[in-house]
Amino acid sequence: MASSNLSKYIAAFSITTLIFIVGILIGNAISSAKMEAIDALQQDITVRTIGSEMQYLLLAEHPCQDIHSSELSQELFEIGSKLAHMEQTLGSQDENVINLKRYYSLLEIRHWLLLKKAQQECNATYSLILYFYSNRGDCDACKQQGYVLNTIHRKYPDVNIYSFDVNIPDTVLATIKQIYNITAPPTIVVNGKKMEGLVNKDEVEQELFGVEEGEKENDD
Amino acid sequence: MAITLGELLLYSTSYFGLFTATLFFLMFFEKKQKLQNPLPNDIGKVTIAVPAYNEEKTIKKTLLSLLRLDYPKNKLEIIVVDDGSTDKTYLIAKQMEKDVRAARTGIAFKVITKENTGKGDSLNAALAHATGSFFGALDADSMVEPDALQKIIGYFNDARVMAVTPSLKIYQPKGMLQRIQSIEYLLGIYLRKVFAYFDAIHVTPGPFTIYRKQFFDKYGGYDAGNITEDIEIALRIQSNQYRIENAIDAVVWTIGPATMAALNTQRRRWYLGFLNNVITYRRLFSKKHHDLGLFILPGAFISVGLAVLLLLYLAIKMIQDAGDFIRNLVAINFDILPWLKLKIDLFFFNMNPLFFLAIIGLATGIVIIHLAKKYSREAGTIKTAYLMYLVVYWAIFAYWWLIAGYCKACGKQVRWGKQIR
Repeated sequence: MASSNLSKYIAAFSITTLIFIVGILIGNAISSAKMEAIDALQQDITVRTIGSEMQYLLLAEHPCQDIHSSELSQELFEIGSKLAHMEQTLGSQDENVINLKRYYSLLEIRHWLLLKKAQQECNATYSLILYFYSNRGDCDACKQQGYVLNTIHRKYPDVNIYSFDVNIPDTVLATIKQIYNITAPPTIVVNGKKMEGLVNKDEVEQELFGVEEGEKENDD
Repeated sequence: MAITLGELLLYSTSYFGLFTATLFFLMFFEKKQKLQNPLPNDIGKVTIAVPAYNEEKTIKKTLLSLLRLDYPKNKLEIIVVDDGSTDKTYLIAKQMEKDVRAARTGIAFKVITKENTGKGDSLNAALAHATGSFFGALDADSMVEPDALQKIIGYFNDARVMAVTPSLKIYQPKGMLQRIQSIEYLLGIYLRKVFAYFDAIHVTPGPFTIYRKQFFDKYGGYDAGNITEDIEIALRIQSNQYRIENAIDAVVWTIGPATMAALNTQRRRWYLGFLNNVITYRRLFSKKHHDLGLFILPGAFISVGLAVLLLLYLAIKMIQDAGDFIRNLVAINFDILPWLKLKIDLFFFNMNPLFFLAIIGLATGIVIIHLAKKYSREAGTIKTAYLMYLVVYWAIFAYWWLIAGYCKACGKQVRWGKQIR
């Protein structure tokens, strides 16, 4: 190689590498800013959930009108979508993603318990869906199930959907899985009824809003 | 950070692309003052051969453009080789011969006719009659700018220069396909100049590349059986350690295939011919050939390889995504109404490094096309054709190479195809 050109190869190599490093740094900075934003949102939700719980305890006589804030469950769902996005960007093995998801699962369970309690004691009715999924590549139907539940969420904002990654190591999550005897994702629990495998939109709607003729018999 | 195979491919492609673009930019701007064509020490006699097979529609324009060349008339010789045409090509050429003689311009004008034996053979027939110290060909579907030859000739001051290439442009592009080709040719103009700076031109385009005739005398004429005899000559010059130059503002107009089928045929010939000839001249991949052997030729193979892999990867991914999309729609029983409410949240805007690289790539492309236009003196704007070029061209390019590689692998024969206009 002519020596006069060798310097150009080196310069081009340096410039390219520099641009790549800057690009990766900017990408990482944006990712961590997003993760911090999620963290802040989760903190906010925590405070408000605790608030709701206290409200419930304080107003022991007639607690029921203030318990359910639909706004709160909307935001919870929104955080879930953002976490899923970050998981796609950073990978499901990313430690920060796993930590945030674990925290998120606990928040969901807490909110779910609160609504269940209100349901028992205040005679309120909420539509509650638990969704157990895996995205380690061992659950092909999970993509569609997620899409179905996203559609349900958009169509019926009042339906509370809680999604749980079965691979998140957490004892509370393990307990919930035990209670419903979750063996293989995707599994959904619609108002207490467990349904395994892909459940399409029409089936979810039937389960939520009553059943058309002739479908009720194999209900258990 | 988890990196998938696909991401690895995307990153390697952008890294290699960015590296090459930067290197070429550095070369182009360092040598920019050399863009000025050298003035000739000596005006040599030039023979231009016009091989023609059934070109009655375009040959007159081609010959007229040659007669209008701004070059001493007594130093110009034109030889039309009628390659056994079955239309009026020969008659038109003969009539021109009469007119030129009658006009007493001093231009030597000859028409040869023979059986149909192909382009390489026609050029060799012209070589046998050529009396100039320089020899070039102009396909009967191409036209030259009047000042093209005088811009080229000065480069032969350097005794090691055996060929000088012009800048090729698509003549009056019509329709999206020809417009995309005209952008591709502009990129080619830039690349050819950069390759010249690297002393690494490995294709001397058929239309109006001018050769030192001594080269043919010493190393033989055109390889008549070769499907891309212009690539063969270029590699032969390089392998004998001679130089190939480029005059960026010597403009030659050529007609681009107007249909996809014709373009496919042309490219299959080009790329398969390139593969064949590079394999024949594989000894060029060596330190002895400096930039050509160590980076330009290997780089051509690397970029083609990356483009082909990327095409396959994206095709598979698109099929998978389409499958997912359909399964999703089935799962919600086509109740898409809830999705029509658009929610825009910048959070979901994916700002990964590839996005920045794509922006850089796009900007680089615009700058290159602009440079090529500026230095080859082209007016007009680029607009939609340029966008189309950026979006679809690389995929079509990869597809052509895939076909050429397939032909090579299974030994399929390819010949000079007839162009359809």
